[in-house]
Amino acid sequence: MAEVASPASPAAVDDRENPGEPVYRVTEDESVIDVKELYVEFPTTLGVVRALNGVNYRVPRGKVLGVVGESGSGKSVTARAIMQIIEKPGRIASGKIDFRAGRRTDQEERDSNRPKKAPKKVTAEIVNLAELDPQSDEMRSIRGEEIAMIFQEPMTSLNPLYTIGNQIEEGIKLHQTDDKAEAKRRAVDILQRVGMPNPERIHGLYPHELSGGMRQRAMIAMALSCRPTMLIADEPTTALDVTTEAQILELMRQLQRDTGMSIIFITHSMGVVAQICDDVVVMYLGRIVERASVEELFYNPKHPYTISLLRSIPRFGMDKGEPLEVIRGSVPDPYSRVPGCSFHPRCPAAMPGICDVIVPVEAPIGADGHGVRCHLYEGCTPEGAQPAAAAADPQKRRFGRAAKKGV
Amino acid sequence: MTGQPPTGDNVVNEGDRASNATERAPDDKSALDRPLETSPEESAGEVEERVQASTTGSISAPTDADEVDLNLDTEERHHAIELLAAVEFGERLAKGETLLEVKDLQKWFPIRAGFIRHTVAHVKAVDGLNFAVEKGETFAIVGESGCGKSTTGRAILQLEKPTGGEVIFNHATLGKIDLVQASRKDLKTVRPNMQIIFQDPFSSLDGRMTVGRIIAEPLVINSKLRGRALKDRIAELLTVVGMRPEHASRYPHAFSGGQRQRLGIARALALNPEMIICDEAVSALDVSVQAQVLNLLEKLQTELGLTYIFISHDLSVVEHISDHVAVMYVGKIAEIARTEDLFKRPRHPYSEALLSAVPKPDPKNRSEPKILVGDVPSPANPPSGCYFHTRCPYAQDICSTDSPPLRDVGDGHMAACHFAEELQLEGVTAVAQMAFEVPTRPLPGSPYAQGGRLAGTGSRRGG
Repeated sequence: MAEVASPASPAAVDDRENPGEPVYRVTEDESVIDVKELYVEFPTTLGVVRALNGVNYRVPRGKVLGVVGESGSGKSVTARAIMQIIEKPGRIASGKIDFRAGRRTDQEERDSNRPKKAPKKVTAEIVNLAELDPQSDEMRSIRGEEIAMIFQEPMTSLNPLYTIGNQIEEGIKLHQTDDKAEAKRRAVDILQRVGMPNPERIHGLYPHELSGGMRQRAMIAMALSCRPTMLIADEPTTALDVTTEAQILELMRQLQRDTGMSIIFITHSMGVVAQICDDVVVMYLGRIVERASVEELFYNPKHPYTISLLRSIPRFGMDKGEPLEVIRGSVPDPYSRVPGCSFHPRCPAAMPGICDVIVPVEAPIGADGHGVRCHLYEGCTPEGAQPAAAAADPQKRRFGRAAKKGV
Repeated sequence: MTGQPPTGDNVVNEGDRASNATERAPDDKSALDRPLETSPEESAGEVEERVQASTTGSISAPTDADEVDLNLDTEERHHAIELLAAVEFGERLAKGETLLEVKDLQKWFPIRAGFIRHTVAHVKAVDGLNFAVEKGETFAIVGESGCGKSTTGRAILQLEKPTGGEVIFNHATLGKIDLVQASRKDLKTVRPNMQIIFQDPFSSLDGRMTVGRIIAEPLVINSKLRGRALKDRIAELLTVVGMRPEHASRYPHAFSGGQRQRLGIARALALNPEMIICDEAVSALDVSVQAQVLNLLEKLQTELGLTYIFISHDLSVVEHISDHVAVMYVGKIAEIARTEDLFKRPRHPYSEALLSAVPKPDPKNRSEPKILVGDVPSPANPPSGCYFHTRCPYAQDICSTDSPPLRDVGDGHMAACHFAEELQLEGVTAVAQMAFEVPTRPLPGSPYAQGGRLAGTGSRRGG
């Protein structure tokens, strides 16, 4: 078992010539965040839940990276790992998260204005966030100021006891200025930039006095108040109506253009991905199964999971009465461990003896950084891996037993 | 564990859990009321897995035993459908007859204030709806949250007593009966014919009841089925929704969201109803599972002649499933039409805005949506005239003073807009169809494509 899995383990990837290495569209220098072989686990009484099984991705500077996947695929956990806010008892088991704060022209000027109680700034050009203590000054100076996050539920992520203005100013006062009047001026300014009518008034309102779309705007304002290098948006429009969703997407697109920040956009909606993202990674059960530019992904998907996902969404102008494409079964529960390719129990093209035994590695498909992890494609079966000699009967796939056979 | 990098494959104390489960198994078996015997062809392994799944909390392991049957054309299922269709709780209507007529339906919630809690105003959640639903069709109600679409569904079922108007249900034996005025006895006769499926599959099933008891509940109340016959009916119902009869002895927590929604459907089907209200029935599901449930609903409709009132905010789902659509805005209907007509050429500016706001799954089609400014007005304090005039890009002076009635603008297409005829509104264009297929076997060009199943495993990298 161990030898079969080894190509996906961190040790094997250090070798740049390794065929199983992830495929990127951007070089390391062009990325803001470089997630390398990230493993996150949650030890529970029922066993260890491996939420991430070696995730690699780069967030290109000034671009929008979409992270798509169904619930339980690990897309939110990856974002929380970057922010170092994984819920207990979860922890980063191994891997690196390299963050490049990059060039910020007004850095010195703003530094001079920093409040005395501000957390110590990280000066190194590249910081490995996975190594930082979540409670440390370094992490605190990055969280909120360099990397900001917006969440799905604006009502639960805003504090009902403080006014909107208060909550926005909190970050500004912590990171940027001691001057209360200046903090208020900036808060009102940012409220205006996120399209709030009458920002002065909104500044003094409590969250319950705003509608869902307004609250999400307030969240965005809070996230942008310190002008972060990177914004993580975790399903920011899922709880909103279509009309509000369109407003928020347009706002984020415009803010991204104006500030040039990078965005990780986590969503399960293929429509939203198509509308806002530049690059996309598709996740399934804690692994990235495919990555490509957004056009490549929608017009030339390769992984059976991506293809099935795209074909299972109802689209305008479809033939009436034609049944939708379905993926059989559902996402396995986090405690079960699927040997081989994690998608094989649901995959229509699963090959017994291969897919249920060998973990596929990533290989490039065509040009322009399109990477896929599926035994159907050349280079995805790790060198030296042996398919099970007695191929399992396709009708009787049993994970526990298949795993034992592999040993 | 921290120092040692985990291997790519996640095998952690698998043995521990398995043995744990088998140890506890006998207890749990006796604890569960198992209404159905294990079929003889079932292997011991499957039983073990099932028991394991039901003992270890919220686990729905993706075992074959658990997998929902996607093939809805099996012989057992056909048989079950026939049995279910044969069940008569009164006579059935013919397809095309008007099943439900809603006239001036009104549901106002009082706003109370002061020491004696006198009513100071009303939230007009539903304010004067008129529509008719034909037997065998899918009638969709769409709109933003708070527009009153769920209240409409509940008011039709008399779960909320309407404050005004009529809900006329065409019952096969009682004839056309107004549910709002109907006696308790008549309502009880009609109710088996109208069922509802709720949005949240996690809160709509009682976690303390086995699946068998959940599905049996409507049968126990409304039919004389007991004992063996009841168990057989439960087994049929589970088969009909693509689950297995053995699932009856488990509790809802052992199932995934999609499976629970199927259980909700099985419960709604228990009395072989004429009409099912699907209140956001697929909104909480993952995309891949949503397609499964939508296909099941469509299949059941053709097999059992069901009528659906499909309440949803997802317009692409509505376009796929419905025959007629009603667009609601602040408790009123803005537009009703056949689905193709409304999506191709909406006549109300609100419908146009809704359609253009749907994010299209096509990166080459990043059209700027017609963004509506502002928020939905409160139904407690709606604007004057046309409720939409505050956000409408085409609003004229008349819109803020006169409320437009819902009127026929040609060919049965109803719209409540002063300028429905003049405006040339944009519908949706078809999203490019997928040019690729889901592979079901190794594709040409795949290292595994040529030769036998495992041929080329050693040498494929060279070629």
